Amino acid sequence: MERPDFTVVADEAVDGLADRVAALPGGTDEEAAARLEAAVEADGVPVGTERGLRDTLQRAIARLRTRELVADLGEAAAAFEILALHVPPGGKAGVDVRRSTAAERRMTFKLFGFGFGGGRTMTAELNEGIAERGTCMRVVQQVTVRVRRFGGEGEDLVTTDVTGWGERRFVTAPGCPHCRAGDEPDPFEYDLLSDQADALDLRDYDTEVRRERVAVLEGVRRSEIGVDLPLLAGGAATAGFHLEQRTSLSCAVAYTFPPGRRFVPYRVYGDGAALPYWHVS
Amino acid sequence: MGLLADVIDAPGEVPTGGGADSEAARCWWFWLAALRHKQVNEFDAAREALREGAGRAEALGWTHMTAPIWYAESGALHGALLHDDGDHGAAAEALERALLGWRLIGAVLGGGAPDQDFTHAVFDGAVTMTRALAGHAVLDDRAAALGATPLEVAVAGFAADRFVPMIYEVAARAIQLTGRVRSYAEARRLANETLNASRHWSPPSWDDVDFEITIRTSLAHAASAAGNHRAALGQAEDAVALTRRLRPGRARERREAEAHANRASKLYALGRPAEAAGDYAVATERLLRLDQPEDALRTRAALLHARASSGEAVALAEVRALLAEMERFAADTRGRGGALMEDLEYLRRRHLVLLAAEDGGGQDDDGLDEIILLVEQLRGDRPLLRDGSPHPDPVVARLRRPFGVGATRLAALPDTVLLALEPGIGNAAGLTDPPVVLTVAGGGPGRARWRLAEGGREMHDALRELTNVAARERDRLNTRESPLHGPPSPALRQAAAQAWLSLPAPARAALLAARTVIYLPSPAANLDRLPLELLLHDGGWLGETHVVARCPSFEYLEEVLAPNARRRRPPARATVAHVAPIERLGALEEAEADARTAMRAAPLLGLEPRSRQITTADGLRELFTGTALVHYVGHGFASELGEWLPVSHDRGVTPSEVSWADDQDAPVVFFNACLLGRVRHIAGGRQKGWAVTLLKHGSPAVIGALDAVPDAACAAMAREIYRAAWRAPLGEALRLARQRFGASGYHPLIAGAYVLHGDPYAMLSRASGAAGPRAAADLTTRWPAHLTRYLATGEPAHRDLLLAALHDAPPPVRTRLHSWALGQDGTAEWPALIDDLLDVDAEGAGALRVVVGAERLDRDGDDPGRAEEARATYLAAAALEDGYAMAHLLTRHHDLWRSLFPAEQEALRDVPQMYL
Repeated sequence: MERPDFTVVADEAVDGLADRVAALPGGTDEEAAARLEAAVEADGVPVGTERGLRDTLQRAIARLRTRELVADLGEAAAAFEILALHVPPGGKAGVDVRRSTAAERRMTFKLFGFGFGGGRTMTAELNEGIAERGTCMRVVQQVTVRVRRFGGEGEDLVTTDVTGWGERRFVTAPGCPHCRAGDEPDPFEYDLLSDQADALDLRDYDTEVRRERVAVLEGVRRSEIGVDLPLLAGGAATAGFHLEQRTSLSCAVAYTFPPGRRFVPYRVYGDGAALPYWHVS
Repeated sequence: MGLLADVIDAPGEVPTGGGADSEAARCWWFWLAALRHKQVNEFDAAREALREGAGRAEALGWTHMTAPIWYAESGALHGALLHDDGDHGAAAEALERALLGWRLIGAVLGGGAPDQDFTHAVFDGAVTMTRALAGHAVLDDRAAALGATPLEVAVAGFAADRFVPMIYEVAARAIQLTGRVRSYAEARRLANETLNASRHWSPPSWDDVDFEITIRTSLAHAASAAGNHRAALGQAEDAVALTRRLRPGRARERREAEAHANRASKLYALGRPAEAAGDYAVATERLLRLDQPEDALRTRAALLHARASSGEAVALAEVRALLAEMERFAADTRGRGGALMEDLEYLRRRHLVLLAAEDGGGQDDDGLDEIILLVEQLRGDRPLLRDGSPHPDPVVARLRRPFGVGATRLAALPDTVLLALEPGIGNAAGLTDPPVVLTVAGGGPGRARWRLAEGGREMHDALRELTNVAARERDRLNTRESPLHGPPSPALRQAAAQAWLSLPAPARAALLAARTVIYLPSPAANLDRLPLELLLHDGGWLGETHVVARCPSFEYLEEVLAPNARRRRPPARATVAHVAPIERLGALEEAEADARTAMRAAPLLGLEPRSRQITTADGLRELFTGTALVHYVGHGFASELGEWLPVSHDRGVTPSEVSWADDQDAPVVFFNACLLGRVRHIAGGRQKGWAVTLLKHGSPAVIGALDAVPDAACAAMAREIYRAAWRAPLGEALRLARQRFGASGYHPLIAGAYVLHGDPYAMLSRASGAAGPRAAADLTTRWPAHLTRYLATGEPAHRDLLLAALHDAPPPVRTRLHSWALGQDGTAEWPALIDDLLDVDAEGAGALRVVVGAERLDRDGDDPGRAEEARATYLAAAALEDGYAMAHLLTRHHDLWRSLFPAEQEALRDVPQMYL
C-alpha cells in the first residue's frame, strides 16, 4: 500500500452538442432543440439553465448552426484532481481500501469540452490505498484536449474536444492552504459542523493520538477546468472542459494527531465526496 | 344624457354599497365605487371595490349568460384597471373577453340575439343596473313621463349611455393591447371580427364610419406597439381618409383633428418629423377653430417636439410656457387620461434636455429645485407636500422645496454621490436625444454641489454598445459555451471602458470622488438596464470599486435619509422560499444548494431560518410578512407585460397580488432568479416591478438580477452576498460579493447582473458582531432629530442624546437648546434662531419650528390663528418626514387635527402608536 492505484472499468467518447447539431437534418432551431433535448439530458451534455425562460438549448443550437472551421489550434494537456488526502498539521494520515468491495471504490468522470465540444466518460476503481504520510497529497488525472476555432455569426466560437486520458500523477502538497493554523475557516464558505464529531482538542495533552474511522465519500462534484493555450492568450475565448465527478468510496482512514493543539476537520459545503481539511489552533 | 349617464358621468362621492336596498344593487354600487377610484388613479382602492362587487355577484349566482351586462361592465373595468396600471398581459386577456361580451350585447340590441334567454338576461340586466344606480323611483317616473315601460327606458338608456361609449373604449383598448402583447396580425383579426359584428348593430346615434375610424386608429396604435410602423402609418392614413365620409359639421372636424394627430405620431415614429409637424399643425388649427384649447394643448406640445426633432431651434421659454399651461390643464382635470400624461412627460423631457444643454451646475439651489421637480414629475413621484402651492410660513416654504433638507442629509453619508439618469426624447426610428446626467453631492451646510449635463451622442452609443456586447457575452456564459469561471473578453472590457469614458467629465469626477453611488436611473427607455456596475475605470469595474444602490425616486430617497421616519422592524426571521420544480420551465439543479446556502446563512446573520416550499400562488402571496428576509429561489420573468414569480408554467404572481402587511415593513428580499431586479416604466412616469413595490411597502433593500442569471452560479452568489452581509451593510455586501466573485475567477457579468435597490446602508445581519449603523437614517441623525424625539417622548435618555448631539449645532442654538432641555429656558427667543438658521441648516430650523409651534398650540387655546399655526407646524414636521414630531402633534389636540386633515385620519391614526 504505497500509493493509490486505479483500474479503469469503463471508458468511452461522448458526442458534444456541436457534434449532435452537425448530425441533425434541417428544421428550425426549436425543432432541433425538441429532438435533442432528451438525449442531451440523459448523456449529461452541459447546456446551461437560466432562472428564466427555458430556451438555452435552442440558443446554443442557433449559434452552432452558423459555425465554420477557421483554425485547428492543436492539442493540449490539462489535468484535474480526483482525490486528495489532507493530513493534520504535524501529524500523519493514511487510507486503506482493502475492506471495501469494488462497488464501494468507484469514481465516474464525465468531461465535456467548452464551446459545446465533445467529451469522454470514464469509470475507475481505487485498488490501493494511501500509505500513512506526513504531508497532504493529491491524485491528479491528466487529459488531452483538442481546440478548434470556428467563425460564423457573431463572435468566434472556440470548441474544445476532450480526446483522451493521460497519466495519473501523485503530487505532494506540503504547503496545503487548507490544513494550517490561522483564522477559523469562514463559516459561510466551509462546513464546520458535518465532521464536528471528529474534532480533537489536544492542547492540554502530552502524547500523540491515533484515530481510525471509516469514511464514506459519496457525491457529485461539478467544476470547470481551463486549459492554457498560447494561441488563445488575450483572446475572447477560453479552452477547457466541464467536469462532473461522481464518487462512491468507502475506506478506512487513519489519522495521527500530535499533542498540544486543537484539530478541527472541515470541508466545502455539500462536498461529501472529499476527505476533510484540517484546521489547527 | 340618459339615466345611467346622469349617475355614472357626474362627479360624485364614492359609494360604499351600504345604502343599497338589495344585494344586486350593492354589486353595482361597488362597481361604481371602483370606477370613481380609477378615474383618479386610485388603482388599489378600485381593485378592492371591484373585487367586493364581483364576490357578491358570484354569491348571487350570476354568470356570463344570466348577467351579461354585469360581466361586460365589470370585465371592461377590470381590464382597464390592469391596462392603466401597467399589467398589459393580463389586461389584454381581460379586455378581449370583455369585448366578446359587449359584442354579444350589441347583437341583442341590434335584434340579432343568440337566443331568447340571453336577450332576456340583457334586458333584465339593463333594468337591474338602472334601478341600482339611478333608483327605482327615478326609472319609474321617467317611464311614466315618456309613456313607456321601465324596461323600455332602461334598455334604451343602456344602449345610448353605456353600450356606445363602452364598445368604443373596450374595442380600442383590446385591439391596442393585443398588438402590444401578441402581434399585429392578432390585433387585425380582432379588429376585423369587431367591425364585421358591428354591421348588425343599430343603437341610437350609431355611425358605422365613425366606429371604423376608431378601429383603424386603434389598429394603428397596435401596429406601433408591435413595432410595425409602416402598417401603423397605413392604418392612420385610412382613418384620415374615412373622416371625409363623415357628415360635415363639428363632429367631423373633431374626428379630422384626431386622425391628423394620429397620422402625425406615426410619421414621427418613422423618423419623418417635418411631415409630422404638418399634420400636428392641421390638428391644432382644427381644435382651436372648434374652441377646444385644452385638447389643442396636446397637439401643440407634439408639434413642438416634431419641430425640435426636425432640427428647428426651440426656446427654453417656449417650452416652459407650454408646460405650465399643460400642467394647469392636467391639474384641472385631475390628470385624467394616459395620453395627456404621456404628452406631459414628453414636454418635461424636452424641458430637461434644454436645461442640460445650458450645462448648469454649482450650488444654485433654485436651479437644482427646477431640475429635481422635473425629474420627480417625470417619474410620477412628486410628493403631495410639493403640490406647487406657496406657503406663507418661510420655514415651511423652505422645507417644501425639492431637496429642502435632502442636501444636508446627503452630506452626512460618507463619500456618497447621487447620480440620476434621464433619457432624452426618442422614437422608434432613433430620433433620440442623448441622456441627461445629474450628479448631486453633499456640499456646504445645507447646500448640494450639483451638475446637469448632456450625455452626448457618444454616451448614448457607448452605453448601448456595452449593453449589446454584455448581452452577447452573457448568452455565451448562460448557454455554457464559455465557462462561468473565465475572464471577460477584450471586446467587453473595451466597451466597458469606452462607456465609462463617455460619461460627462463632471459625472466621472463625482463618481471617482465617491465610494457610494445612489443611482436613480430612469426606467424610461430601459435606461435602468444599462449596466452601470459594469463600467470599467482605471481602478476596476465600478460595481467592484463602488457601492451602487438603485433608488427609484427622490421621494423614496428622502424617506431613506429621514432620521425620524421610523421603520417597523420585522421579526428576526429569514424565510427561504423555494418554488417547487416546474417541469416545463426546466429543472434548476442548483436550487436545492441555493436554498441550503440561505438556510445556513440565516442563523449566522442572527435570523431564525424557516423553509417554504412554494407550490401555489397563495404560498407566494403570503411570503412577504412576518420575516426580516425572504430568499427566493426559482424562476423569474419580467417583460413589457409584467413581472412574475411563476408557480407553474402558465401561472405567476405579480406584485399587485401580494398580501402586504399594514403593521410592519416588507422584508429585505433577495430574488435569486432572472430579471426581477428590473423596473418597468409605464405612462405618466410611474414605475412597476418587484423591487419598487417592495420598497414602497417598506422593504429596506431588494437584491435582484437585471438580466438572466445562470443557475449554476446562483448558490455561489448567494453565499458570497450573505458572507459579506455578515458584518457589512447590504450595499457594501454586494460590492464585496462582486469583488470576491471576480477574485475567485468568475466572469464579471455574473455578479454584475445582481443589483441592489434601496438603502445602501441597510443592515440585514443581526449577529452580535454586526455593530454600527443599521440604515442610512442612522448616519443622518443629528441634533434636530434628537430634539423632536425628546419633544415627543420627554424621556431622559432622549434628552441626554440631544445634549450630546448639540456639539454639532451653532453656538447660539447650542446654548438655547441646552437650557431648554434642562428646563431652564423657554422658546421665546427661538424665532430669531430659526431665521438665522434657515439658510444654512433647514433641517435644524424646521425642528426648532416644530417645537415652537407645538408649544404655541399647547399654550394658546383660544387663539384665532391656532388652526393656521397647527397646519404650518404639521407641514413642517411632515416635510422633515419626522414621525416623532407628527406623533407628538397628533396625540395632543385630537379635535384640531381631525378638522384640519379629515381625509388623512386613517393614515394618521397609526403614527402615534409607531413612535410613542
